[in-house]
Amino acid sequence: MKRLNLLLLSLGLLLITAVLAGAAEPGEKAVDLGARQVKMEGLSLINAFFAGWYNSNKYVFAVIVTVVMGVIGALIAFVTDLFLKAVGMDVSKIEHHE
Amino acid sequence: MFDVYLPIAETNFNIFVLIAIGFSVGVLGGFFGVGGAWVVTPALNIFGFPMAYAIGTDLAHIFGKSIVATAKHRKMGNVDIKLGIWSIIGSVIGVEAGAQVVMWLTGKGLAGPVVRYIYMLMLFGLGIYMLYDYATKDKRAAAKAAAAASRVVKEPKKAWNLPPMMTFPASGITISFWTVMGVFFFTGFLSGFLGVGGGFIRMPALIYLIGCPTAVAVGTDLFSVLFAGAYGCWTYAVKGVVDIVAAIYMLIGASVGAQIGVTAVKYIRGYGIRLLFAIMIILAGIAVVFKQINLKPYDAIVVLAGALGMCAVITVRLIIGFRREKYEKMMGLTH
Repeated sequence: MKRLNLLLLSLGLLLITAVLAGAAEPGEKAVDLGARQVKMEGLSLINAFFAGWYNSNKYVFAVIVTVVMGVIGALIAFVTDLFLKAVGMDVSKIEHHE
Repeated sequence: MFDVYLPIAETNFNIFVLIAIGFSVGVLGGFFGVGGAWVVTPALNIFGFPMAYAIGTDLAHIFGKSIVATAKHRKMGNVDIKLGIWSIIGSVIGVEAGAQVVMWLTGKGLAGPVVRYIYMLMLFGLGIYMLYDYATKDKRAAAKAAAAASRVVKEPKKAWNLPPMMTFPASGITISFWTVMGVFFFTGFLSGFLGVGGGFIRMPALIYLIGCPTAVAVGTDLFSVLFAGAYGCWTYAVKGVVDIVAAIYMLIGASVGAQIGVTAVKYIRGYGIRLLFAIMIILAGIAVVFKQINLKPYDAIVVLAGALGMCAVITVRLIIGFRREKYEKMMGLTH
């Protein structure tokens, strides 16, 4: 009987998960600024590059933003790690103590 | 004088303010395992950044910062990747369910106050529980030691061992699949319901409900924040509200801050991290109360002052810990 209850409970929980997953729809629509254009006059090289892609294609702009953030994050992680090692701050595995 | 032109937001902004905001949220993010959107968005807004761009730019820099912090936590053995992947799966389902409830409440015109009151309840409830947990830790340790000394063999607490069971070697736990999914669904639900990244809910849930060591909870939570940040960065950029130049400056500050925050985890015991976290989320709760009663700009000032104060505490503890470690190493060499 106990096993049967456990089994029924498991099936019920599975069903809830499946129903919720199926019911999932896109949430509240954010304010769409997709059509907005920024001014290009007087922009320097890098600013003009970003603004140019922002105006011409938001998807390419989004790819550029995501890749740039990822690459800079990884680069800084690498460089600061080297720096911390140089000053003698050990970044190897630690023991977990509460 | 030190203003830079931000081409997407089409505004001038002080470069040092951007780096300083990034730095402080980097320290908090690396130390507590949270994204820190609740600090950055009001901070940017206070200093004159348009709100829509504040949210998008914040998420973009969180993605970059999470890479830095997660990479370092991984080196320190603080990331349970298997648990992190399950947390992402459970959270996604929960976020959608939470968003559906918000949509339903919005239709009834109740979303604003209901969300804010639950937010306050969550922040104060969690903060007070964690403070209580910290305050009673010695008593519990003494009781445990006394029981061990008197050799009273206590029945282990009955866990909910509903199959299938899952083992997470990095965290050193074996736990029911349903507990894992239930916890992450619940934290995801709250995250979708409250409209936040969810790091500040997931981190204590990993400790108290899943049973992770504090440092692993911090690292694993950051792993989840990384994926949420990547998605947020992409989707807000498509909507045209990420100022990439501002995000890069903030990322520079945040990356340095994250290194400090993550390294500090090594020098502060798990309970110390929990105590500081409890104080921080209680301050965030006070800020939400101020917002509810329209005490502007004190809501944002409380969050900012709390964040800066916490950064100072973490940095000082790091310096003390580092100097002690160096001293002990030297002593070890001389013996």
